[in-house]
Order: sequence, then C-alpha cells, then structure tokens
Amino acid sequence: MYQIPRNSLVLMLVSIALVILPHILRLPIWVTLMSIGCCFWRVMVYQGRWSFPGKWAKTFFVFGSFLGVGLGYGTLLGLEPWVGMLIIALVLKLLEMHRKQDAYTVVVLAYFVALTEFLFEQSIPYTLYMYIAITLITSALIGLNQAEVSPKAAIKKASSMLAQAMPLMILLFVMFPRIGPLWTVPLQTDVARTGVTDSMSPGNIAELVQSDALAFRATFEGEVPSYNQLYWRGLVLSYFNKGNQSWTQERPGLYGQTLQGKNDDAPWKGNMEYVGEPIRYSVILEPTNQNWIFSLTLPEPTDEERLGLVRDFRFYSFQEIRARFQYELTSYLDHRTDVALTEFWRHRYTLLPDGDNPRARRFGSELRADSLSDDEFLSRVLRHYMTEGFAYTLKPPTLEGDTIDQFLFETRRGFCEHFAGSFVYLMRSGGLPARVVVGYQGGEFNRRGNYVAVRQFDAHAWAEVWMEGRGWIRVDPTSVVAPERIQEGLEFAVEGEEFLADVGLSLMKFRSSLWITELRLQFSALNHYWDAWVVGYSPTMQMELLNRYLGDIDRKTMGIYLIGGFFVIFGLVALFLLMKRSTRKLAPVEREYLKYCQYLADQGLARAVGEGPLDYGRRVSEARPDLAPGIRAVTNAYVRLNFAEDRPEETDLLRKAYRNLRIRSFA
Amino acid sequence: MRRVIQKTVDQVGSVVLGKETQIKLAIACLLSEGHLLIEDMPGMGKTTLAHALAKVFNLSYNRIQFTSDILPADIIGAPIFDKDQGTFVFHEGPIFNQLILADEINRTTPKSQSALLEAMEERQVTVEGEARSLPEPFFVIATQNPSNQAGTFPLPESQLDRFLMRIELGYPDPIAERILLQDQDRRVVIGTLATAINLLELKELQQACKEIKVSEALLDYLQRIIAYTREAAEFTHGISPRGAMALLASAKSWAFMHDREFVVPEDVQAVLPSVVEHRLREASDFTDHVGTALAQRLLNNVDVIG
Repeated sequence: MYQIPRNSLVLMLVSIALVILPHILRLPIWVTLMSIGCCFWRVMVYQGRWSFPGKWAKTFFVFGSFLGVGLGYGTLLGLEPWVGMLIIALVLKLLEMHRKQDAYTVVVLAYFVALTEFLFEQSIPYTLYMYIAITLITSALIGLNQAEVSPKAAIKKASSMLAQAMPLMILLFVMFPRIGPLWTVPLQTDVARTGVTDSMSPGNIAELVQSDALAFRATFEGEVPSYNQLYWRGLVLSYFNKGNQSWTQERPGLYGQTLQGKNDDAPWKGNMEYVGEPIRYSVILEPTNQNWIFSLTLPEPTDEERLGLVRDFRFYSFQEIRARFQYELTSYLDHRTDVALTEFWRHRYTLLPDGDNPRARRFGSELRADSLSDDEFLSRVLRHYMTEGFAYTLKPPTLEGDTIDQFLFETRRGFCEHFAGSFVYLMRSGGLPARVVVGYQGGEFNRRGNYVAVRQFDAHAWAEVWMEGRGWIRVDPTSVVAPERIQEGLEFAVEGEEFLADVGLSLMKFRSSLWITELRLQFSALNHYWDAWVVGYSPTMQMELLNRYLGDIDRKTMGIYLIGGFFVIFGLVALFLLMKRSTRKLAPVEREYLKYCQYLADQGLARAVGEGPLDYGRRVSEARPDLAPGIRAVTNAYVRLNFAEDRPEETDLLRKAYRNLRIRSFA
Repeated sequence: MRRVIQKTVDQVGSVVLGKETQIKLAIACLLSEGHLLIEDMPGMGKTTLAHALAKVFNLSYNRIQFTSDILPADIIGAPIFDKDQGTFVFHEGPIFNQLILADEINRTTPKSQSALLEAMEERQVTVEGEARSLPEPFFVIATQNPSNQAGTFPLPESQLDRFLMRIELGYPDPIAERILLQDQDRRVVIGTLATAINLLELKELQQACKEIKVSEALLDYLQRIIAYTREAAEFTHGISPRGAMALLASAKSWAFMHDREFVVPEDVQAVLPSVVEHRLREASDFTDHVGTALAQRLLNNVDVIG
C-alpha cells in the first residue's frame, strides 16, 4: 500500500493548518475541532497505530458534516457554507489518502482553500500570509514527488519556484483580460458594519465615533480643501419621527426622478448652480452593506453606472456596497441649490409632528417672532447654543421622552447629533425649512499617499437651512460649541475625555507620538496603493492603464502582448538556465586553450564541440602547414598540462606556446 | 604505437585482413581484462579473429558452439562417475580455458547464456558446492548474430553490460578480400602464427594499462559524457557506473597501446562507440538495435573542454 513520504505529510499538515487558520472565526467551532481531529487521525494512521476509517464511518462523516454545515449556517447556499464544506472535504480526504493520486487531491484542495481566503480578505498582511501558505503547499507537493528531500530543502525549492513564477504572475495580473464575474455567490455575513445609518437619534453617532475603522479614502486631483471644508455628505434626514424621537430619511417615493449619468435630465436639474472651481477626487469606500455614497457638496452627476444623484443633491448607490468600491466625482464647494423652493418642499422641510417637545417649539416660534429676519433668527439660535452653557461631550447623558426639550433646556451636554437635531427642530419651529445631514467631517491627510483617510470617528451630523434667495446653506451648530471639532478633529474637541475608549489598542490613540504616527501613515499609504491598484484593479482600470502605456489597444492586441510577454519571460528563463550551464568555472589552462581555439576559429578553423585537442591540432595543421609547428607546440603544452601532469592552474607553458604561434603567423 | 602491441596487431592482421581498428579494440579489451562481444553476420571472420588472438597471445583456446539445446553442464563441465576409482570425478568443460570463443551466444537459451555470463563475471564456477577458479587470464570472445535473425534469444541489457566492448567486423575492403580469395586457407595461416607475447608479459601489460595517468580534466570530460546520457531525452537510460568504469579502463588501455602515459580525450573517443553502444538504447527505439547513432551524438555533442 502507498505510504505518503513523511516529509510531505508533515508539510501537508502544516500547510493545511495554515490555510484553515484564517477561516476559523467564520467557521462553526466543530469544523475546526474536526480538522484537528482528522489531522491527528492521519498522523496516527501514519504511525500505524490507527487504521483508516471504514466505508460506513466515512459515509457518516460526509453526510453528518454536510448536515452540520447546513444547520450551522441555516443554509447550504452561500459562500461561507461552501467554504466550510470545502474545508471539511479537505480534512476528510486526509483520511482517505490511500494512493498517490489521493495525496495530489489533498494538495489541490489545499490550494483551493487558500484561494477562498481572498474572497473574504484582500489586505497586504493576508496576502503575504497566503503567500507563505502557498509556498508550504507547494513544498508538500515537492515532498510528495521527491521523498528524499528534507522539508527545509523542499521549502527552499518551493520558494524559488514561486519566485520564478512571480514575473508571470504579475504579467497575467496586469495583462490578462479582465471580465466581470460570471456568477456571484451571496456572502452569508450580514455582519453589522460600522457606519452611519439612515436614522439618527441622540447617541447614535457618539457610539460610532468609538471606532477607528476606516470609512473611506479620498484622493484629490489638486489641492486638498481645508479641513473645515471637508463635509462629506452621506444622508439627508428630513423627517422627524415622534415615536422614537429620531430623524430619518424622506420616503424614497417623494424624491421623484434620480439623475443617472451626466446627460440625464430631470426637472430639478436646474436647481443646481455651480460656481467657482471644480474639485476632482476619487473615493475608495470600504464596504458598508448600505447604499450611501459620500461626496462633497455640490457634486456633478456622474457616468458611474452604479450611482444616481437624488433630489437632495447626494449620491445613492443602486446596489449595497458589499465590497470596496471606488468612484470618482467632481464637486463645487461654491454653489447654490434650490434658490426657489416649491410650496410642497417648503412644507416638507418645516414639518414637525404634532404635540411633542412643546418647550422647544414655543422657544423657536417665539424667537422667530422676535426676530426681524430669518438671518437674525438663525444667528440668535446659534448664539443661544454659544451662551447658554452647552457642552460638547462624547458621553452625553441619556435622554427620555421629549428628547429635544430635555437636551435644550435641561442636560445641555451633547454630541453633534444632539446639536444638529435640536437645531433643525428649532429652525422648523420658527418656520424655516431645514434638514439634518449625516456623513463625515474632516479626515486625516496622508502626505505619503496624498489622500485623505476618513475614519468612523470622523462621523458627523450637521444642518442645512433654506434661506430665501440663497437656497440651502450649511449650518453646523457643533462648530459654535466646539470649533476645534470642525477645525482640527474630534480628539481635540473632547480633550479630557478618553478618545476611542472602547477600542482596545489602536494606533490612532498615539497620534501625539511622532514616529508611531509616521509609521502608521506609511503603512496606510501602502494600503491605499494596494487597494487602489491591486485590489481595485478593475476592467476599466486595466484598459486605462494599458491604453496609457501601449496606446489604443483592443482585446486582440492585448492577447498578442500577453502571448509575447509569455515568450519573453520563458525566453529569459531559458537563457538564464543556458547561461548557468555554460558558466561552469574553467580551469586557467582551458581558458587559455580556448583563446587559441578562438584565434583559429577567427581564421575559419573552428574546433568542433566534440573534437579533442590532438585531432583538432592535426586537422588544423593540415589546413595551415605554415602554422603546424606552433600548433604542435600549443597542443603539446595543453595536453601536457591538462592531461599528463594534471596542472591546470599553471598556464605559462601554454601561454608562451600560444604567443609564439601568433608571432609566427604574424611574420 | 607501442612496439610489442604493434607486433601483435601485425600478427593478427596477417590473418584477419583489413581490420586493424577492430583488432586493436580487441587487444585493448584483452588488456583491460574485459570480455568482447562481436556482433556480425556468419562468415565474417569472427572465429578467425578469436583464434588468431589466442595464438598470438599464447592462450589456451577453446570454442563453444552455442545451440538451442546446449546445457550449462556442456559449458562448465560435470561430475562423472569413475568406475575404477568408485567416485565422481569432475570433468572440466570447455570453459576451463584462457580464451573462450562463445560462438553464436544468442542462439542458446537464457539458462545457458547466464551460465557463461556468470562465469565471465565471477571468473570462477561453482559445481556441487565447490568453487573452481577459471584459468588466468580469462578472456571470452562471444559472437552473436544480429538479433533480428530467426531463432535467437537476444541478450538482456543486464548481460550485455558485462561485455566490456562490442564490435562489428563488417565486410572486408576489396583489396583485403582479393588477398583472402587468392591466398591459402586462413586456418593454415593461423597455424603458422608465432607467439608474440607470453603470459607473463601479458600480465605486465595489463598492469601497466591500469597505471596510466588520468587527469581531473579527463575525468570531467568522461563525466560529462555520462551525464549527457543520463540527462538527454533521446536515451531510455543512462550509462551505469559499471559502464563508466569500462569506458575509463578501455581508454587507459588505448592510451597505453598508443605509447602514452596519460589518457587524452581522443582515447576516450576512440573506444567510446565500442564501449557504450551496447549499453545505450534510443528512447524512440523499441527494437533491440544498439545505439550506434547515440554514440555518435555523444562524440559530437559533448564538449571536450569544460
């Protein structure tokens, strides 16, 4: 019976452990235990202590574990159950490794499991990790075929093989025609992703800012706008829900037509007036499982197929963002919107539920009645926040009942959503159209990568107020209470409170340490390039890149380049091997003798490859009787040194003979 | 060429006409203490060559004609009951001679073939549990008909390997053939041959061949040849270490015969076809043809210089 080589088995088990390890958190615990059990069983089989499982046991394992996967995930469809089954198949195959072919199957399955890891993670550390795992799998394969190699030698060989494969891999990555997926597999996890949601009640965002997870990164084409200009609009909340005292989005049906593509037309398209300089930027959005898209005001419509511009001048993705998504936008920081507001929208944006928060409502309407103009009303409300002892805090007290009243007149300690929410409420009480905007504000500029990284703790809520003749203007009540938040960022605004208290060890906590910051910036810049150029390398990007360097190119030319590249690389490898063979170190005598051969070859008397020195000397002497004595001297010297006396290091005799030969031929 | 060798070559050459190279190779084989396989059609002078060699080197000679019904006992000998003494007495077979001509070895069954080949390798035979040494020197010249002729049992590769060299005689050239036709019978001429070397001298010559100097550079060349047969795709299998040693021993004898104290690549090349052809087989060849073309490829493709 076939016994798998010991070295290969060890490498195989190690590499199986390596490929399963990253999946562990996604797998039911029993799959992990089963994997360990199967590996152990295989070792026991190898040592001859246990035997392979019988037919019925195997049947039981297979059906039992498939049933288990189905029950564990609640379904057999979807990526995660499939990966689970693949892993089970891999470890069970270990217990069925009777022949060499079975061992090959195990190796191939291990490669597959390694591949599936990239369906979940594509970051640099994971990629490096998987590279190591693949090296080990390959070395197991080598061990399988060359039982006598030590594991160390097998790993070394596998590494050099993978290193040799690298240029081809890069070529294929860059050149191989990219086509969209032919089918998609639903990702099982609807794990709640951190990020802004479509309803805002006091406390939401304060929780959100406890996270330092990346929300998105934006690369600007020109100057990066100043920090306090970076208002990333994500959602517009214009409906106040009395029941849970939260601001939510308008019903989608009310929006009317969505603008898709630059040339799309809608009745409200004219309500956007662009003034001043455009700002072009590209955003890589982390998956949110939501549809929100973040943009600076006021964006132009875009041709990106997945995005539509909706009535309140923000983008919306038609599909949920489940994988990193890159989009490019143009925005105008100077702009005017909805200079004229129809009665319908004026009504919607001043709508308040009946009979809640009576004090706020009274305060608002009285203040408006007291003011001469909307402008004065607005500034008096803001002054109220400034002068009446309001405080910006990460740990606002819990509010119950009429939360706006409670916040405005009792606790007066709150986070941005408290300020924005209550401000819009007051505005509407005074009859001024207003709405809450949720998104991110600010972001960290990374000079290495020349991009702005926006993290969850940059989440923010602010207000937009409609003024007669000016349209919507942005008002950020938080800036009145805590100007540092808007100018510099959250951790400067909450000094004294612990920033990111709930995050264990986060490099973001050490923003004051210079070198940690430097290191962190370097690494995230690297990540940024990775995401932008490797993970985000899309068919469009491929065509753009190839067009830039290879000129206008179609699929066919691309195929030709690809094949050409293949030949060039294989040619280089072949050449390298050839050179390597012929660069064996020659003894000095042989080098000297070859000079003589070359000298005669130049005169049309080349030595044949398999021609010995005596035969060659005879042949050449017959052809050139004038040189015969010299040739005889050289040949004798060579034969004497190289074959008779075995002194290949001493060349004097030969060199002298060769010099004489040349002198004589010259004469 | 060394004078004494020249004398033997001349002597044998007076009987086997126009075959100096083959005679020299046969002598090189004898000096290297190896056995010789001559492969050719019947009537080409194989027997004459063997007989002449025996005469010139003054060796006791016997010829075993292999047929399909010959048994090992016919070669080695057998104990026969002696009526007078009342015991079994071992009667030595024809193999107890210094030079054996094993004629048409591929006409007999593998059983008898291996009896001979074992004797060749061990230089002794074991009968009834008693080992009996064969005479010194012990030199076998086997002949075989081309193996595609009817009624032959081709020698397996493992046994071919035991022959140091394999040569073909080939047709004589017209001049030699004319002499052959005009002159008296070769068998009569053999009778007139004088001994050129006695046993002691032969031993000395064999010893001298062993002492020929082999330089590192030459071993490099030899190993390149061996490596080529093992790596190149056109060979089903490479040359065995025994084959490599055979090649070196033959080259040393060749160098000695040509009056050199050291081996040069030309010596290796001179003996290479005879030494390796029967040990090689072309990958695409499923018949028993020997690797004549392959040996030529080795000569052409393996560089003499590093």
